[in-house]
Amino acid sequence: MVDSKSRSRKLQVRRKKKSLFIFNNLTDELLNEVLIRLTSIKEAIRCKLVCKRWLSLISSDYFATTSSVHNRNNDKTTLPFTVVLYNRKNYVGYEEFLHGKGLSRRVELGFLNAGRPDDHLISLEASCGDLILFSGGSKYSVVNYCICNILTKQWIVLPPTLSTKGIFGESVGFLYEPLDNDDRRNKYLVLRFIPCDSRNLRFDVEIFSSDKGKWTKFVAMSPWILNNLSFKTPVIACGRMLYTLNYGISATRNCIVAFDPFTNDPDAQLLRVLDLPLKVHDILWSGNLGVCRGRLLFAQISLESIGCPCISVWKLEDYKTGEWTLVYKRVPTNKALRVLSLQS
Amino acid sequence: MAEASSSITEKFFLTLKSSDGDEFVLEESIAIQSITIKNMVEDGCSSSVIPLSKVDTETLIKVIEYMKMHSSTSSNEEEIENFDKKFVSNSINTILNILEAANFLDINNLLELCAEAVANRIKNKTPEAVRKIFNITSDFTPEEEAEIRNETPWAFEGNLDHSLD
Repeated sequence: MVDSKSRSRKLQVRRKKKSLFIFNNLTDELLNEVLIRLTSIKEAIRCKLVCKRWLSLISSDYFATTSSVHNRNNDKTTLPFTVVLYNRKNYVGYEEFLHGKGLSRRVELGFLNAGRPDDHLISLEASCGDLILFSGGSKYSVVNYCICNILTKQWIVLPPTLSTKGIFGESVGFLYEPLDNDDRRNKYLVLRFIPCDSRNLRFDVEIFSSDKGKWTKFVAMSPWILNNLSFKTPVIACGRMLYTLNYGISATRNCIVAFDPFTNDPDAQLLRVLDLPLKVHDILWSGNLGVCRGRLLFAQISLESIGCPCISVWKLEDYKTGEWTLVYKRVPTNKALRVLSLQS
Repeated sequence: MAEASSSITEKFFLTLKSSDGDEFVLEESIAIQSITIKNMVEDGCSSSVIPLSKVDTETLIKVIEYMKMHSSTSSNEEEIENFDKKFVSNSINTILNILEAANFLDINNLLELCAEAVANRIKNKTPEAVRKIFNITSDFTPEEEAEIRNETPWAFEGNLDHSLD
């Protein structure tokens, strides 16, 4: 009687032990295989709270890189949320998360300012592959750039730039390539485009590449006036290329300027000009570039008839031929938009 | 006719032995979905019984079911899809065992299926529920736990699932 009781208890204990054993026995590699398949970053962050082993695994570079490769291979390009970045008074950044429905909260990015001098201004420059490029420095000094992952709050500082801020302004582009399976390193490039003369025909390009670990500088000439670079218009990263809109006064050619900084071919042009889609109106006030599912998009709001704005979106089909297709055209019925356009 | 009979005569069979000592006879063409077994066959170790010391009988039965369904000749896509759906509804312990076996046997599709299934069990769960499902004891102090929550409070918001299904 006593015997059988103790035996059944023993059995219970053993069974319990077995299931514990099974889980702890799972290698980091296999646990990682599970965790990289979590459906969102939010999900992964929540799992940090399970235990220290999960925390250290999810916080590791190994997790970050394998999950980005996994997501890329499975074409999971959609983010679970949108980050909207604000730059207030040039020294504090906020991030704001928009979920599928409604708005969520703000997080101060003041941690980037920790331990920096008072005159050290931080501004948001560009983003690529879930990373944000910030620039910092006092007003007339050389510029320090840092790349930040705002989800993990990890950041790295690049070496100081070779020259100070351009007197005619400048534009900055940021390209990030997640690592390949063969080459276990992430690659990134930061490009500064600094006009050298008021006509914007000649400009300096400073490139920082993660491969070289330093800034290099050269002068580029353009047959067209590229006044966009002095306006500090956004430089958009798409694929392995950077794009920016060029527009303005009559002598300026309305076009899209493309940069191909990864090219190893010495004869290949860093700079290329793409024509805008046909039927695009004057883009001075209403054109914008964006990226969706890895493709470059050009959007424009135009006035079709009085007071009725029309939104058109084109997709760049082929970089080499510069061919666009119209993917969206609509006159929004939203009254708020109509009033706005009347006022403008 | 002649072709059909020749393909029958070319069938080879392997014997797989689980860690519990049970033996299973399986067609070679099905078994070599496991890269580990395929390599053994190519190295000429297949004439005798193949011992799978890391796979118990219960798990091996499931793995064989999976390999039979996924072998190139026997099933159509819809059947496979339904099978996979049912397959991942096994208990979490069974799935974890199969995941380890798939890793050891090097059956990539099965490994992906199981890893995805385990990840789906975690979906939208509170960390407390995840611990219970996986039988993990938290080794955080309350202070450490609060610190992690405060770093990214937005990740812990919303309607989270406390159940253990």
